[in-house]
Amino acid sequence: MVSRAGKHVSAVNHQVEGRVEQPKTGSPPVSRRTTGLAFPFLALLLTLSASLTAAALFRVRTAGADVTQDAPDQSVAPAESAAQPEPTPARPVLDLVVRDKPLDAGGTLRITFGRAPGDSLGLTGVARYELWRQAPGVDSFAVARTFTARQRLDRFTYDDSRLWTGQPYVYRVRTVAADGSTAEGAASPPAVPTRQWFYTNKLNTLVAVIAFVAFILGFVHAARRGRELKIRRIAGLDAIDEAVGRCTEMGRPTLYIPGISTISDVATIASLNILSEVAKKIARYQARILVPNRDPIVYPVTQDVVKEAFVTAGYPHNYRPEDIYFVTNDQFTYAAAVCGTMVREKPGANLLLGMFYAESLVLAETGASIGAIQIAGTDAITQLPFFVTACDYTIIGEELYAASAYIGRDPTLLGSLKGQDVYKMICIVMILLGVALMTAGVLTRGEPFTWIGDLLRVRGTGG
Amino acid sequence: MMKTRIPLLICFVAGTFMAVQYFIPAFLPYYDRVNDYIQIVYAFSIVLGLASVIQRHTHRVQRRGPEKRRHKDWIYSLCALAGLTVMLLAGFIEGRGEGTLFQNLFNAILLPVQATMFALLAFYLASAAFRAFRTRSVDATVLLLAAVVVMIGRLDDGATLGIPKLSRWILDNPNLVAKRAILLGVGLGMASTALKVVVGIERSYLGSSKE
Repeated sequence: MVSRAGKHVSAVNHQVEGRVEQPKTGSPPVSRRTTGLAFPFLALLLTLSASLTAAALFRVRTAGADVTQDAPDQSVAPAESAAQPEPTPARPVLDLVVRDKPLDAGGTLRITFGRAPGDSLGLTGVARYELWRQAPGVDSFAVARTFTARQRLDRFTYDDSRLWTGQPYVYRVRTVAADGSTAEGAASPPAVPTRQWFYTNKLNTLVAVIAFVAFILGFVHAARRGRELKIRRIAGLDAIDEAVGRCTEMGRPTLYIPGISTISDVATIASLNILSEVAKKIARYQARILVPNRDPIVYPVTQDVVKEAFVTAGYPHNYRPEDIYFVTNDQFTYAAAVCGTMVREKPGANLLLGMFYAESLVLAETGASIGAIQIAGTDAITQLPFFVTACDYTIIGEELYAASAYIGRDPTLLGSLKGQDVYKMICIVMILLGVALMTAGVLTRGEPFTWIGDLLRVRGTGG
Repeated sequence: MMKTRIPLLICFVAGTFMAVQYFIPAFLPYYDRVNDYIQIVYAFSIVLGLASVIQRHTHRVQRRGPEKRRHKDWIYSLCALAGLTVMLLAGFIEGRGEGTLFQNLFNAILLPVQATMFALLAFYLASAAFRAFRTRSVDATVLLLAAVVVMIGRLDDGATLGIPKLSRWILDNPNLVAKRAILLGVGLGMASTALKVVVGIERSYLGSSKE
């Protein structure tokens, strides 16, 4: 900001200098024949340059003001040179406040204090403030933190962490002047760091989570009791049967890529659920599946999932452990290896399901070039356009999470899908209601509905 | 039965803890500690991954089967094994610091190869864009027009025909709305999948959906 403002100022100065000096240094002499035409033109030019110069000067002043506001170092220097600080004696800080840090796991106190009387941003003789802490069971104080006085702060705040939870701590602030004199502030009352047991600012999230869980479990219960649930068709998932069948007919393997993310990514979990269903189908068709892995934790899981699927399908002898393998955990090396597998093994179908990043297009385009049926699914919004372009079917966003239930046709899982859909409708209605009420609040120029915004706001750990 | 129940129990306890800690500040230190466990699991799994790589490529290089023939792509496997061995030895013998053989091999071979793969994206993008922008339907035409406006808007630093503004509007309004709609579904889908896994409704990852 400072440097940008500075550059701006110098650039404007150059413009100003150029325009002012131009007539002096080198404007060509105007001939008499052209004077009649040139005069109004020159007059116009002069008027323009004068107005531009005025505007530029005004901007220089404004920019100068900005610099003063934004750059503490530059602003302090002139003030210092204009009025050297008197060597005033140090005065004690009067408003030391020590409180437990809210919404934390304990062990932290939040200390705030203002400047000593007479101190103005460290320009009137105060050099620094020292925060002294008395630990429980110790008689003496020790320095916990030092604050330079020359900061653009009216109050200093510090979170003193790594303290004993439940133990009292006492603090005081010592003002140290430039001349070496010091002044001790009064000690704070004992403060005890405590741990909190609930993020009160996340109450709305908790209510929403409880409602969501209730909906899902309610619909699962209904499905278990035999209630018929209709789920819309998803073309990409219907095509998995077709793709596996094609591979079997052609005698080629199916290539299943479970994304390149870690096991902690829900998209990877969803992909593993789909892999289980796909592997069962492949086992029944007595076909072959290739699963190259990028993550070393995902690798043994995919191996186990495919093995169990072959066992469940009744064809354990067809399971080939060498077909489920770890490649590398490097993104583009993995992409290169999988592209090589596509070109050499020529799979009949490529299933790219999970989390993908920049390698998505490399994989999908290579797959398209070998003529395989390609079904891709991801919740990575940035990669979806690539899959839509290069693949035959694309499973978009939430469909990836519905895939396992959709393919397996387990009524319990279908129940959870229905619950999710109903909850989504409620979310949409709430969003529309919130937008309408907030808009009404803006239109009425009052704040009768701003509490709705607060109610719906999701807050992080810091509150 | 135990083979299914014990993983389900572990999953339930771990999943419930992770959900609960989000609302309880006092659990934060335990959450951090559990996250550290992932590093330990990762370290062990790397050994598994390495074993997989060695096993797979060694099998390809070896003469196997009744005809004692190598895999048709055995030469690539040999290269992979040679690379793995050289890098491992270089790392163990000389370390991985600046100027070591490991670092030089990494900078001279692996980085350019990775950069090459990444650079291929440009060509794939051109090919994909060509297919996406073929005007075969009304939807494709709208897509083409929007893409052209956004591309010109990115190039144009002036205000030719107000294209940068139009480009910004397309990105900030229709595009953002569609993104958020997908994200809403994704968020609920993630939460639903997590819930199903935690409470044991979804057990496909165990290989079977039924006990």
